[in-house]
Amino acid sequence: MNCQGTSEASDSRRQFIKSIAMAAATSAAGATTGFALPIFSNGDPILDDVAWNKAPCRFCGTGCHVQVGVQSGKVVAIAGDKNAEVNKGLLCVKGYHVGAILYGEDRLTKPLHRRGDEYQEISWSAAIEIIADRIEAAPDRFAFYGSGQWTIPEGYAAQKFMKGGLANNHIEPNARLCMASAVTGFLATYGVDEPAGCYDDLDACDVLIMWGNNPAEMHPVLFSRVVDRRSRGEKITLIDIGTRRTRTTDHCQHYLEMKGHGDLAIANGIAHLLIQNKTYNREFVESYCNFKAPDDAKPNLNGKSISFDEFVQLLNPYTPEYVEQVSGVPAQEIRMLADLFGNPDLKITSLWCMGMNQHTRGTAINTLVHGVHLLSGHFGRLGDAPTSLTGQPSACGTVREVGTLSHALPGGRVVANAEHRQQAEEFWNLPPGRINPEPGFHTVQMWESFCTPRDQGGKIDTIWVQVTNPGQTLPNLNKLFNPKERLEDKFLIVSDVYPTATTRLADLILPSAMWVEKNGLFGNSERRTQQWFKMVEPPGEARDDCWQTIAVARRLFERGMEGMKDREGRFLFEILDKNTGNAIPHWQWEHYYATNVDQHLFDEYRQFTRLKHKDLAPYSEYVKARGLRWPVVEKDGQWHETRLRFAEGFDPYVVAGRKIQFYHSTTNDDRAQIWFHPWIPPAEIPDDEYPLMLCTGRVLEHWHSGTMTRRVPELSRAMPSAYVELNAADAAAASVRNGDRVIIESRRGSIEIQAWIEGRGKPPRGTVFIPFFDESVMVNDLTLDAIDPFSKQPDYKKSAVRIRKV
Amino acid sequence: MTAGLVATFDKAVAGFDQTISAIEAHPDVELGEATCSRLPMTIEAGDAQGLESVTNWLQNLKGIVHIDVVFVHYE
Repeated sequence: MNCQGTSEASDSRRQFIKSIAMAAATSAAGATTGFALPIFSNGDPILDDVAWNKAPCRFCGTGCHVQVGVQSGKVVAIAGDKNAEVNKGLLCVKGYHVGAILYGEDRLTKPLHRRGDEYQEISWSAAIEIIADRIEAAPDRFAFYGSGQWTIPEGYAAQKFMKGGLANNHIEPNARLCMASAVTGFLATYGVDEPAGCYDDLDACDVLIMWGNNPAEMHPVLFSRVVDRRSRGEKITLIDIGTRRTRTTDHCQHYLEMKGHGDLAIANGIAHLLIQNKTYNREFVESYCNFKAPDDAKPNLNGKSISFDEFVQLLNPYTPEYVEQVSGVPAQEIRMLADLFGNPDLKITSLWCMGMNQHTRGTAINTLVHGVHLLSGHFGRLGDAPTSLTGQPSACGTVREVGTLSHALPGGRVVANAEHRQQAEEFWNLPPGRINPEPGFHTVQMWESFCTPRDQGGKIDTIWVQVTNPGQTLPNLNKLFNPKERLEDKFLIVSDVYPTATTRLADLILPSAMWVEKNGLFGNSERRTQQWFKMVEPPGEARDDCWQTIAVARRLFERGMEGMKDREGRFLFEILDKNTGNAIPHWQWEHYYATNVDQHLFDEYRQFTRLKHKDLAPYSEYVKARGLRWPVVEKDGQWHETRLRFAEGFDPYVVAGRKIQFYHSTTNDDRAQIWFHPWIPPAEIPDDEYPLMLCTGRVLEHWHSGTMTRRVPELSRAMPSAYVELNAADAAAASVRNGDRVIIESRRGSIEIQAWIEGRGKPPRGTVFIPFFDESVMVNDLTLDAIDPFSKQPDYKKSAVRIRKV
Repeated sequence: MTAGLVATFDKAVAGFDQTISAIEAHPDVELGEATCSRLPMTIEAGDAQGLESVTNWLQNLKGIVHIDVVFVHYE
């Protein structure tokens, strides 16, 4: 053996990889914001023996694209995709470790069936039979619980299986827990969901206001776009409105520390001053807006119409001094915000995420922030936008657009509307009347019903969970999840990639393929639909979630279940071979990739997207692009995306000459609604017994419940376990020192955890913060399950607790 | 392991001679050509922990606002 030769070859390869690393860094360092529409190029290999392909990152809702390097059937390298408009080649700490999430040592590789206290390996066909038995025995007592991590085709298949097949609307995503209030906020304001703006606003705004939002840690690549502008000498004012300091605060010129629910008063205070100072945009308001207030006699999402004068009257109490009193934010800071909004020469972008959504008045605060933008006319230009962010890669694509919510149908349609049901029945070729008009249970109802014994009124017996971890992420776990352990008549099916807090109580565990082990499409926070292809095989017997759904549907079809047949008696998910005309047996795993099932499902789903101006392009267009922002319309043989909705010159559906047109207005007059909602205190406030306010959330190093990131050694080492952040004065009062073990108790449960005085967030006196990524410290044993009346989203940010040293 | 990174400074890189000298002296780091406030570089480390430790060290140097990792090879 020629050792020297081997060493030289290895050295040369090392140098080559290094030169590639430098090329990638140099390319990213030189990136500018002036990108043309990125088109995927096959001719860009950066390692000769590694196959590269594009995929959106698996983690948050930003939607960064990565280049995935595969060698010998394994992901060996990750690079930021320099052709991607979203991230321009950059990745955050989680993104560049995304390849490692596939290779945790404890991947689930076999279906497992609980027998007493043990699990027995069973075959896939046996597992499918068990699920079919449960559904066939009581189809109306079955529920499907997925997430914003479902790919678009996975969510669409689950949606069609439930609503089109079983005539059962008990399908929900975990996104109910994270962005449902953003949805109701958009619907109540514009009559249609999802942001009008996009990430380009971050490159164009003069002022960026973060409402209870921490993008430096939760959407770091987006935040780096803004910080980068400042590094280049651009003037941009950053304002953080929050209940605790974060890494975002460190970059902001203004930090406005508020009490929980203070945001309601702050938004009203800005609106009040805009009117008092006569700095609101009268022309914009008179041309494009109406006014609304809650209808207390008959609460509903559309409220009641009010006049401008009534609106002014309702805002009268919200003087800067009153706002200071209820929000804790000094009156001069409220005046500062009003002055900024009152300046028409500035471009102002608002960002928010969980702080405004996980809120028992989440719908209200969402509408109020839209209202401040509308009232001041900071809308409809690049840089002038109220924009909600999402925490999951396809919360928008799969949940909001496919409509995997208990009341919704694909394309912004709802089950309660007869015309909408009829449209879906046409597209799905179902017998008329198949779709159930009654909305199913929302998430909290669904799990409460599952955790209630049948003889005490529990109406859900079986839940199938895919791509999420409710055993850790539901609020008030001692009410909504943990009782399952004692209920023999309930059956929990969990499809996942690793053992989790949810599989702990599962009766049947199904091993799933993840990310680039399967084909997929995601839809990110800026209406961008992104596609990728399968690149590596899943381990053992792990299989696609979409296949699992179709295989169960097929088994029910074979058993003769009427719901699994279309009008002609054909299988609901039938795909015909173009050449032979015969059905492709894609319900058999060995044939699943004989055709591109994703493409068939997506192209069927596309029909729905044109019903509410959320048009998607054909699947093949997404193969070429790093995502396209809807509505995507064809003109002169080319597909064009949309950066700003409702604005002439950007949105193809705005009639020429109208400048701004809210064409889904709930008042049918092309106007948006500016809302008044009163400030009210949180659902639970600290008292003598429970004197501290608990806020929960995420950390930079971990994503959601940590099931993926805690299996990446570098991330796990960087943030090994959860902690409670305590104010130094509160710690002293409880005789707690840094690193002490403490008990945190609420009215719903207690946990033991390590104390970190001040921590990262330096919580104000009377407040504590605990991240939720650590399954060994279940912070949701403490949290409250009170929900917003319209979005049905719980508040994870405001639960009263007390602390004592162990 | 080999990583490609971009360090973003709070103003033009040229004004941070001391920081640049410190990075140049680090045996595992090789610098590329700066573009205004951004400096590309590579890190070579025996394992992920080494990579992480150099990244953390960079993050704390004067003038560096943040570090983006744009490429990582796991070998």
